[in-house]
Amino acid sequence: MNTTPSNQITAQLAAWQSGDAAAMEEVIRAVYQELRRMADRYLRQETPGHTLQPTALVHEAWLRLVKQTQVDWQNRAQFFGVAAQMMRRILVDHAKSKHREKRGGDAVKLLLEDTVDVSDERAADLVALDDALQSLAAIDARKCRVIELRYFGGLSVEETAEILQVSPQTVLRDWKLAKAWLYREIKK
Amino acid sequence: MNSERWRQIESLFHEASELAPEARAPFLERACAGDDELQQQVMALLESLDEADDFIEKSPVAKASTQTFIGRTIGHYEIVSMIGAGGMGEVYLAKDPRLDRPVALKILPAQFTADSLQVQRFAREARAASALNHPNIITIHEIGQDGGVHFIATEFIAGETLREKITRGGIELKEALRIFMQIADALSAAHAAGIVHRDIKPENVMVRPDGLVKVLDFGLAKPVERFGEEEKKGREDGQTRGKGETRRVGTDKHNPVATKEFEEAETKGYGEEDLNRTLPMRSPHLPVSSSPRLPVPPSPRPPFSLSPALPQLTEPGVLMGTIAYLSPEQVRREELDARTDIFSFGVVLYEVMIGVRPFHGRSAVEVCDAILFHSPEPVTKFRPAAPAALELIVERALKKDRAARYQSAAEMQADLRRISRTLETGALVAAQTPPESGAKLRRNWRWMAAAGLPALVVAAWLGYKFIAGSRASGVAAEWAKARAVQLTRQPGEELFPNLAPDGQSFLYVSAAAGNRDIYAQVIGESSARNLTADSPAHDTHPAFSPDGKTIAFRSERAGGGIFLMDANGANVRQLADFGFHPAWSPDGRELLCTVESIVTPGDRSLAQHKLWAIDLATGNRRIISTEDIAQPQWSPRGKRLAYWGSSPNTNRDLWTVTEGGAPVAVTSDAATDWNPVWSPDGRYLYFSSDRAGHMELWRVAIDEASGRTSGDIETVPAPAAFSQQAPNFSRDGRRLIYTAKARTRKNIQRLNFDPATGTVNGSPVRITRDDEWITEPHLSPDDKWLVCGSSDEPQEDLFILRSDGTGERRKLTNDPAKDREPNWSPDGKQIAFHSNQSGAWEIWMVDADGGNRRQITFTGQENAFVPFWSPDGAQLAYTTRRGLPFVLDIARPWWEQSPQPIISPGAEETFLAAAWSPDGKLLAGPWQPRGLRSRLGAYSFEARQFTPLTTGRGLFPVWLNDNRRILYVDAGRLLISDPVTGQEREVLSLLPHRITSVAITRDNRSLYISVEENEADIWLLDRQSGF
Repeated sequence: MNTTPSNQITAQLAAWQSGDAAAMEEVIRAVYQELRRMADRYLRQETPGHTLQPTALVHEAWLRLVKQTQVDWQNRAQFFGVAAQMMRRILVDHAKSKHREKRGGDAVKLLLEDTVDVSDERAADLVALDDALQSLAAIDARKCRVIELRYFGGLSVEETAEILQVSPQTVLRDWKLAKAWLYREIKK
Repeated sequence: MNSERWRQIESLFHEASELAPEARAPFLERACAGDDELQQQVMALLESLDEADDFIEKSPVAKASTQTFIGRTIGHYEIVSMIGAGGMGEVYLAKDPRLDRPVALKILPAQFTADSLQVQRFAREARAASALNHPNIITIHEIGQDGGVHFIATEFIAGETLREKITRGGIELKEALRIFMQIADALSAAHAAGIVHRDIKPENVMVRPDGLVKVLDFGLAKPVERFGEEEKKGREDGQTRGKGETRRVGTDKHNPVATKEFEEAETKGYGEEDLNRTLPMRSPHLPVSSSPRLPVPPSPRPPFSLSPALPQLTEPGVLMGTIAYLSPEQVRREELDARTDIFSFGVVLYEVMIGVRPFHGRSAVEVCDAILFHSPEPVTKFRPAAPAALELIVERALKKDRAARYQSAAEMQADLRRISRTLETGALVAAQTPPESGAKLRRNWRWMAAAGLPALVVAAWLGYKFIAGSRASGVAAEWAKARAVQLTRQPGEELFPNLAPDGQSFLYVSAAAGNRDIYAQVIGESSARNLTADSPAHDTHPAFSPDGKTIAFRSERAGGGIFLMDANGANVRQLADFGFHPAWSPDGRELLCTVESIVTPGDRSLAQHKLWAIDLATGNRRIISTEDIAQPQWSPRGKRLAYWGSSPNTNRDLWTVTEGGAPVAVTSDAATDWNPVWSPDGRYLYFSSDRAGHMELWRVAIDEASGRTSGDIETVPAPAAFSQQAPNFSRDGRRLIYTAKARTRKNIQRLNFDPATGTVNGSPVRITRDDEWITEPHLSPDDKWLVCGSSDEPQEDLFILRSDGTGERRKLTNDPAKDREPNWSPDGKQIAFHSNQSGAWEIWMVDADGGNRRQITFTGQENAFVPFWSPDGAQLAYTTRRGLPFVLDIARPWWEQSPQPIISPGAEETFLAAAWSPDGKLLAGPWQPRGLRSRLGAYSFEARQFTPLTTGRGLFPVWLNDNRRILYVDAGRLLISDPVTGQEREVLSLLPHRITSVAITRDNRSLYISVEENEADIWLLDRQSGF
């Protein structure tokens, strides 16, 4: 129990790079905790008037990890791939709780705050998008990943292509169809 | 859909989408060759592609990814991380390698540098601010450009924003004043240089740990004279100068926000707005102006946009500044001068003082309306102890008419300094109004006094102990020589003491005989007489009539209500069929009573509050008030009544009120203040308060007629106990009786249990010592270990001990947070619990060896409590703050876990899931169905519905192995219920010690109970002679 968290991560990273899948899960768990903690702080709205920028969070998590561990991450793409998935879950979870909260309603708070709150609607939008993505994944998993990586992870077309081991053109085509399909699914 | 079909659709979709719209249908007609369904599906997708427009394209994510400067070198600055982003650009933490110092680098987003107007504004900001050289204004190092990237390098400030401080709360008056004075200093320097900030708000004020304040972001500042010229020109033009000009707000002074453009902006303008208002990543960093281009209120919103957004640049002529801090002239888009900053600064002052902004509304329109036409509520309404002089400063800064405001920041600073000096010397602020503001202030002061506003005591902000200790206390003189006498010594709690008017005897309540009874005892004797021994129902809240001949009390007999009896316990009669805490009017003709029973200050429900007065002669009753009134007490001459209640922004506070009048606050602070009682001379209000740590007795001088307090809140010297409460007096005021409570103790005991009969046998075995606070034991799956909570206030940790109590204990957690409700996984490897260590209550997990602690839920404001495992260990249940239970697939990989609610969120019932039946089919827990009283209920996963397990309340249900009966606790007793037979009965009572939880071994042969021992005795402070 003497090892500090960052030492642990270093060891895990080394293990991961030598192919230990369990170690990778541990690393990802650590990153996820960090990401979640940061996201949570924003989503709890300790700082009204501002909002979360997922990509910035992911980048920061990445940077911290790299800095903390002094390890040259070769698998950067993989990291961002997983982070995109995490971001999706964090945001959708938040949207769901947001949605619930609004329905429960805290009228007093609403009165006190000089806000026009349309977030309920948006929260519903994100939940709907998440649902539609799940349906899409059942039909075509890669297209779902493309949306996830680009929309939730903020990755570029090239980065997305690298992760999915396809050409950028394929990413663009996947994006186009998935977008049309999702839009239709949500409007249904 | 099969994959072959999907591939067909995909291929046709891409081919057709390359064609001109009119060519698509014929193409598909041909390509689908009569497969209508295929053709239809592809057409539908093509249509939605057209409609989808920028759906998911303009996500914040996509946008941000194009702007990552992290890792790059701009100028010679190495960018380390992003701090935040605002309307005027993004801010990064960067390293200046030449001087090896951190800098904040503000960068105009690359995609906007094409906009020369934007670049100009950016440069102007820098020039304006760099002309200022003042310790309270951020220092500009460099204004530069590198490969088309425009940037400003400023000093990096490690600290927090005033916004963060406000959000955290608890800014003391002295600290607040130090901040205010520095802001005023900064403004006054800027104004002297002809620069108006125009965007003063808490986000733009940084406070370093050493207290130094830096005003940031003169992003909107312009040299005053230039602004005036531009404005005039703009108005004379009267023509559209650009897109921004069409969105002018408030060209009509009387209906300033009614333009169509404004409304459109309101309804449409949020999406992109959000993207530009990203926060500093970590708190102690440079914040950024988030100047919106339109007056949109700051509103937390989810970080994505699925709707088209407006162009995002701040354009000339468009109203800028965060709306809540705008001055009336900004709302009206009039010419601005330094006095606009005075107003915004006034808004900040107000917000810092009471945590709420002066002008609010549910929309931008309403906020603007409030700024233009509404007077804010006086600060003292929320914080009666705020110094009068500060109230007046705020009032003057917030004048709608700028000619009536402070004319300069320097003038305002002088007034602030005067208050500060007064505070430093410890004198009362109310006694010294700022001389400079002369007659007007004195007029105001008189007006406020006449209006019955409470005296202006700074104590609430200064820390009472400081004042009490630093000044000669009248209380000390009066009570220091009083004898302190312990009147009762029975085990358990003696509560609700009431001294007879002659001070020779007293009443109290005890549950020593099994139910609560009223006892009478003569002072100087050690034995008490049970006045209500013949009543099996609870009798409590006794109160002597002013003549000492009659006792009013609350009894549960005959359905419950207010009863009367003679002083010797004879002649019991019912006065009312409702009510608690009876209090006599001074003439003995009426009784006040409330509709809620209070034992601790936490006992406040949201139920309707009613204060009743009952005429003893006629039995007539009337409602005096529907305020949140607890334990009212008439003043000796019957002029006002004092009471306590809950207030939204603080805690438990005291008020006084006349019948039909408005309540006057006595306290308004973060402390818990309760149990007010008037001294018989009517000059003081005594009460219990935890303002100095433990609950102790305090008093404040009060004017019985007006309710106005004066002087300091003083501590009453009485023998130390963990908690002192419920004070009251003899008629001559020379004897003061109160309850002294000891710290609550909890221990664990083991009992033999016969599951066949549902009874315990043998006597309990102590597993832990009496003098500890060990709570809610939970057994390991092999029954060999217990995991428990312990308290070392305010910290609460978890530890493991052998279930026979022998051997060493092993700490599982050791952190400043409260870790509670541990629950062992069925495989024995891990323990789930809830904890507030992330800042909110969430479910956490730790391995049984104490390692690998991790957070499981991330509900944010929802909070999650009381985790427990399904018998197969595959699922974990927990409940949110609002009584919504969730089940999580804990056996799945953590990234696939998704909590599922088991009640639909809209359902108007609550369920605190607490135990899983051994067969895994049922959950048990406190259940409150819509419109019904709370009881224990069972949720069936099969039937997806609830059935009642008990008819009354219950906590800590535990299933027996028959999956039918449950053990549970209620009112300190252990009970068992068989919902099939409907039988509910007591298994064990150790009253007055309370059983607070129960755990059962696998074989159902042993129980572990947590037993709470409360000790409270009655004490007397005596200034009368001889007994």
